Amino acid sequence: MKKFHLYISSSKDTKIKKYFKKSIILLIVVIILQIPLSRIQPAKMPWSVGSLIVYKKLNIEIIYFCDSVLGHVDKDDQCKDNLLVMLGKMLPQYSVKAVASGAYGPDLYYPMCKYMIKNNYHPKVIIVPVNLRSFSSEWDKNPNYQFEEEKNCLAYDSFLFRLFYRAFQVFKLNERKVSWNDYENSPVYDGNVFAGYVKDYINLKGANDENMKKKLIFFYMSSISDKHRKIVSLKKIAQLYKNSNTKIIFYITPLDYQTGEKYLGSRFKETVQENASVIKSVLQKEGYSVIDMSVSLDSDVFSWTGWPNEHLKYEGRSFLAKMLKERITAEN
Amino acid sequence: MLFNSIEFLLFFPVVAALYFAVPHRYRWILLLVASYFFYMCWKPEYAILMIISTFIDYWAALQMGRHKTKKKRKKYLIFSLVANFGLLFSFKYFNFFSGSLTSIFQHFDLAYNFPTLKVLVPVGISFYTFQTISYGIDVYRGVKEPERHLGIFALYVSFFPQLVAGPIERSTNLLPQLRQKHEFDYTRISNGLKLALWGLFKKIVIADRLAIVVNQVYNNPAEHSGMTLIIATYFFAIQILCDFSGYSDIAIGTAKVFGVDLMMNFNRPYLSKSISEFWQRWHISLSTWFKDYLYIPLGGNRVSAWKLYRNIMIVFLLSGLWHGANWTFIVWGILHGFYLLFSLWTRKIRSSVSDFLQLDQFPMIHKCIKVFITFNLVSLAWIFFRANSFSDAVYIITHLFNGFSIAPSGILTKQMFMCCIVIVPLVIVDMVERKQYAIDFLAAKPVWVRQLVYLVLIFAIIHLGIIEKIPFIYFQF
Repeated sequence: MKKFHLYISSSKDTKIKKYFKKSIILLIVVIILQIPLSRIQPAKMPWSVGSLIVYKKLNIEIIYFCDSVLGHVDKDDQCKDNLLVMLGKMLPQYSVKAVASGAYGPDLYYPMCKYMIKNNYHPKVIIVPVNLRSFSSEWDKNPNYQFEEEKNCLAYDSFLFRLFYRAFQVFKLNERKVSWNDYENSPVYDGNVFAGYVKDYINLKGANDENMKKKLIFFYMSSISDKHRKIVSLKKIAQLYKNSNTKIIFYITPLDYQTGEKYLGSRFKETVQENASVIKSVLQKEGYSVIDMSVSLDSDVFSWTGWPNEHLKYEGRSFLAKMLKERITAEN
Repeated sequence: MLFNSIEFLLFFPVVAALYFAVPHRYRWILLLVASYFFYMCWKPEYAILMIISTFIDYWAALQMGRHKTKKKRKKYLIFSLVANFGLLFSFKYFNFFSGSLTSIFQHFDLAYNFPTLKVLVPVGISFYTFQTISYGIDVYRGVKEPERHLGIFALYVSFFPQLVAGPIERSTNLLPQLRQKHEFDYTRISNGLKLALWGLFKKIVIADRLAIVVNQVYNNPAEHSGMTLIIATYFFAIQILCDFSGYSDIAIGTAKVFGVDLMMNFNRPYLSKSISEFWQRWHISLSTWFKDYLYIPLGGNRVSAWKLYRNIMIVFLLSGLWHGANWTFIVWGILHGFYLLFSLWTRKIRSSVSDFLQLDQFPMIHKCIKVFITFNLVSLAWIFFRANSFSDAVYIITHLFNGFSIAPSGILTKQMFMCCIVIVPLVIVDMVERKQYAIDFLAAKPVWVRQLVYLVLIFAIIHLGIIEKIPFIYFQF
């Protein structure tokens, strides 16, 4: 330690001090000049971050987090209202807005919740859907579904961060953390049994029986652990709002289990229910009950061409909206 | 870890601060750990190859050092060469040759699939392999004493500023500097950082912006007119210069902070008056490597005409292959070799034409003509380098003069306009550097001018820098 001290305070000391002094002056000048420049070219934050700020200003009471299920309308539907519009119409006494986009999931909802609390925004209700497919390798490991930009902005948003956000973008702050190669080589499980790699599943073409079985395994059949990062995020959301005035409504998104049973037999429903029970038990420990709609809808209310998914036709959306309305009004 | 990443912006100052905080005898450990960390950020397993290469060359050089005669040293040199080229071939070229053989067999209706290896090309393998090979050859020739300190030698192989994209350093230049004690030198550090800033500007503002237009055109050449193809080709010429020389400037600048002077890698190559001059100014560390370790051992130009032609073609064929395991790179190399042969064959004719036109009386015009022709020949060859396939390259060349509409879409036109603007600083620096280095030129200016220039560069990077990820072109080599 003595040597170290002697080394630093040698004859170079003044030069080092001069260097640091100049560096700090340069940094201050850059910050000062960047203030007007950032007004000319303001930081383009992701839509979801901006919308939360707007919702706070508008004092929106119900925030609905969701993936693409929220905005989907079947081409044959008579009524073209999506899930959000339906819920809004059912609850005219409340203002309802969504923060939703394709492939959003709990790992993003948690930083959103933290962001709202940090910004002193406390809506009356937050709806948190849990899509069982979001835990699959197909979704969870997909480089396009990591949302690094949203997560970074939600985590670091501040005056200085916005001031230099463009610089951070230029220096690849939002670079994908998962490569396509890593994604393609990540394992797929059927239950807990290894069932190949993502690359064996992503390029399946033609919905024949064999491919349909594979897709269903790919989407839904891996067993979920309570250590999964998305379950951890759900747990953290529950803990965040445990003693607050904000009601959190967790529900498990309905999925087309009848098609699953058709191709994979009864084990499909069993796996889905086992996975749902993992989520329910984790959240129950935190004092929350979960609306489990995973196996509550028939196959004919799902809207899909080619492969099964969770998009709903009018009847399905209507059922889901009513369930949510009941839960919201019952708890208030 | 990329130079133009947040990680590097945090990593570099920390390493630099620690470097001057720790006593000299521990600095090699710090730099070695930092270099391996830097490299392992891509894929940790890549480091295994570098470790293998380091041990092989360290051991082979020590063995060579024990023997006085070249004859006895030779077997160790051969061992080192076989090991290094073996690794390079396995990871970079095996699949290319295997695929090419399969295609040839298929052409003759012989159904045989040669095996392929499921491996990714490790980042920078061509650079550090050539660096270690040059060390082995230098020790064999007796130019360099073998390095006995394994840690210092490992640092020579892995020194992070120049590890993944050069300059390919010589042991005679780098190894002594890694042993030397470097004091905190304000001017040196300041100059290093300024050079790195200029390198970042070239990469982020110029090269990446040009890449948007180039990628759009070269990924769909059939959708674009001749004029757009020409502009995209010129843009690529500038893009690859700014991309690679930008990387070299950052490498040289950051190494300077640690007191290490790396060799110059670019010297205004597009102002060359001939192809041979171009190769004395472009990727100097590679072209001198080929000259010292291949061209001269083959006999250089002190041989019969046919052997000279052979030597030139071998060097450029291998130079093309060094750049990538693809026929487009090979054709690019061969084309440059052919340019050189053509210039040798036509020397007298060109001299006669010059005399006839009395160009010697107008040296500036003569020089401009030569620079123009050289730049266009180089740009023509870049088509093969950039094209996605050989057939794309042929399509582009055969359609360069088809149609003169500038661009099919407004976006592309706007991008082209922006590209022309961001190139201006490059032209200014090239003009300044005709007489002296830009840093020296600036140093003579008043302090407010200097600070203004640096601030303009910083804010240009922030506000004009490209957000999309566009990797350094030479990383793939």
